[in-house]
Amino acid sequence: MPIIVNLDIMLTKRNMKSKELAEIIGITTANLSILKSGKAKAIRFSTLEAICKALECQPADILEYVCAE
Amino acid sequence: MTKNTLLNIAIIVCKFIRFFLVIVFIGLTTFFIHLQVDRSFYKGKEVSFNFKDYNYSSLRKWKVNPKSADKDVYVFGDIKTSSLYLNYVKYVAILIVLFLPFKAFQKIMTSVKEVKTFEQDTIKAFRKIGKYIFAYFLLTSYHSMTFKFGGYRGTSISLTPLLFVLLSFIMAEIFKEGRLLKKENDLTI
Repeated sequence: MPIIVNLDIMLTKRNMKSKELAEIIGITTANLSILKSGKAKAIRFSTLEAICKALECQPADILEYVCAE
Repeated sequence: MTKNTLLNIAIIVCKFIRFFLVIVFIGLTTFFIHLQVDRSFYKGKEVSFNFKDYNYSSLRKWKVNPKSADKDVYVFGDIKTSSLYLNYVKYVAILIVLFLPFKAFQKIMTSVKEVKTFEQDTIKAFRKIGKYIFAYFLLTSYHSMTFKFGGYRGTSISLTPLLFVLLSFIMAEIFKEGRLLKKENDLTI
């Protein structure tokens, strides 16, 4: 998928663990893992909003478009 | 009526029908054995041909002596042993292909009750039901019975089972789509 999820980078920058983030935004660690691994088919605005709030960042800091060609 | 009550009723009905089919099988086997042991008991019992429910019928009756009455020719007591065995096997097979769809349907109801509706097993169960009903359609299409002084043979086709076959396969496709949607929903974070 040409959309890359840079959640790992943001977590390292904020010095936060996946488990902590999952607890803050109210999703399971399994679902967060799906998101991080790029297996997710879609992301809800509410989840994106919660992540941005918890990591104090913009959606563009988490999602990146890479041309497939 | 809550969802679970309705599902529970459906499961109980399925169980009851399966139990009833087992009873019918026992009755049929008892009749099959008794007919061979005491043929004279069935001398006066006429075999009735009721194919009014069929859409298409090419059933042909025949008698050694055309003047003899039906009640003297088509009686259980005069049925030929080979014909009796063939019909017994046929009706047992019909009972089996009636029993198995109810088992599959009960499985579907249980999976819905356990909120595992859109699983691969449910899709398989619907396809199985379709195949069993098609087998039922084939088994009930051909009729043949030979007596000492006559018999009947032919095909009688009813379209109702075919509609159920179609419905089962459509349901399987709907549940397949549902499974894809569920998968997508599960991967939406």
